[in-house]
Amino acid sequence: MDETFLINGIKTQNKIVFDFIFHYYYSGLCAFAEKITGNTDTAEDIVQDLFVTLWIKNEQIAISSSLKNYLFTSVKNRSLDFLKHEKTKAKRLNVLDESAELPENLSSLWFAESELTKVIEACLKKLPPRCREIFVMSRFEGLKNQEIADKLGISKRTVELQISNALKSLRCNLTPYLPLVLLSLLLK
Amino acid sequence: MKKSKIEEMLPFYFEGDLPKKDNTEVEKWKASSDTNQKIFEESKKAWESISLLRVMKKYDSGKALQKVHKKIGKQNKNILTVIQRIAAILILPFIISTLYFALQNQNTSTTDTNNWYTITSPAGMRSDYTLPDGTKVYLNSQTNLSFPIAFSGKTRDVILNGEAYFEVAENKKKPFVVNTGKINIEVTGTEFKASNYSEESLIEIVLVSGSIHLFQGDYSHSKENITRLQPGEKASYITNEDRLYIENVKVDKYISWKDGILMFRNDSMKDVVRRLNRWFNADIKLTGNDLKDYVYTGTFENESINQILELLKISAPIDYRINKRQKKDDQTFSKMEIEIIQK
Repeated sequence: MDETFLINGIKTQNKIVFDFIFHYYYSGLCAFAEKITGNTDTAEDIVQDLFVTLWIKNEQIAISSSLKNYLFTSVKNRSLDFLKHEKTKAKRLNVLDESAELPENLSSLWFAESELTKVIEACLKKLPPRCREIFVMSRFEGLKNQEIADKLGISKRTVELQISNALKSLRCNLTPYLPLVLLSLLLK
Repeated sequence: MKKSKIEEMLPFYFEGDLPKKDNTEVEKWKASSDTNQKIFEESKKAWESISLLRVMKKYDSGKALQKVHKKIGKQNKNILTVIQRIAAILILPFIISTLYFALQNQNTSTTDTNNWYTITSPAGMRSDYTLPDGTKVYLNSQTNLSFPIAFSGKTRDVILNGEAYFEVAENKKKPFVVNTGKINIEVTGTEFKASNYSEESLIEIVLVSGSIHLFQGDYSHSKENITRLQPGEKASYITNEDRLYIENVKVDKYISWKDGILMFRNDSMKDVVRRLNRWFNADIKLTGNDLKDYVYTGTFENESINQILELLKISAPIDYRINKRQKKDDQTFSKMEIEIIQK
């Protein structure tokens, strides 16, 4: 992706570029804001408002590092402002230095839903069918281990084992793609 | 404890589902070697990335983008409101104690025009002038105003073709008469704006303060009073229907041009285009039927036509195209041709 092209697109209010960036980063930015604010609706508001500002103040936007860093740093700052405003002290969060931008070397893979989906799906395909089925039910459909066991007529213990096996396989297959810093690990 | 046993526990460790005893086991295992530490970190990253994807999947960027476009629309309106407020402050001081008319008509009257001057404001320009009796006139784009060398008769007659704003020097004995053809205006001493563009079949007269008489015919010989206008009233005369409508209006948008301000207040796109054409001496065409019904509000002071078009574009479902000016046979250039297209 050519960053200059995207940044110029924003500065000249190119609707296609704007919409593209929006689709590409929206869910990742929301996930990030949700991590900080702990609220889905707030997260969406924060990210949407950021994009409104991006469009309206197009000419004043100064993107010094990468677009991705700019977006995530903005969302982080806006989320922290929100917390301050709400006087909800971020006690459960030990956030990084507030003014610091995110590390420069973040891989975009982990912030764009489309890319993350691609990598994870490729890894899931390598799992044995039963193992994959159980893992998806657990991690993506939100079923409890006992519910999965009942549904498939197997023991809860088997379900647990399969999930462990899936994680082991994913660890091996995903690791080459893993960035140095993972989004969610920035916030402990 | 065996490595495989610990690895089995990891998902539950990450989820916080393990009994305290097992938690301690995992941490002990993790701390016991670099390899274990590495396995732990990588497992955690894998697990977190799965969770992250799951969180992301909740968000619908398509729906959200629609909301963002709506919010942008609203913000743009807010920006225009700010401009309007500034403009209102600029205009207010001169609305007070002034009187204006807008008047538009076709042919001029039978008044004897020997020894008359004609002053002209070219297309796309505005100018001002002081008449022999001290009356100040502002001429809008493409306007002619004719008047005698001296106001020697019983009345002070002027002939208007286009749009003008008058600050009439008071003289109750010698009424100031604006001849526009179908409808003429009589004033004794006040300020007003009048206009009559021959290509338009609409005459508008807007009175800000004071009072004026509208009449038909020649002032001295065949005067037929029609009505008297009150401040804040606008008389619209549709020439091809021969009908006169009177309504109360906010006068500022009709007079702001005098101070170089272009003001739209719930004006139809058709009207906006008509006025932009005159203001900039441009040739704007509207493509798309629904556009004609679109209503626009905004105030412009020093903006170029391109800037105005850009503002229109973000607040209305339109796009525009500017065609290059053509050199005509007489070596002059054609008007700026602009096409406004419905999106």
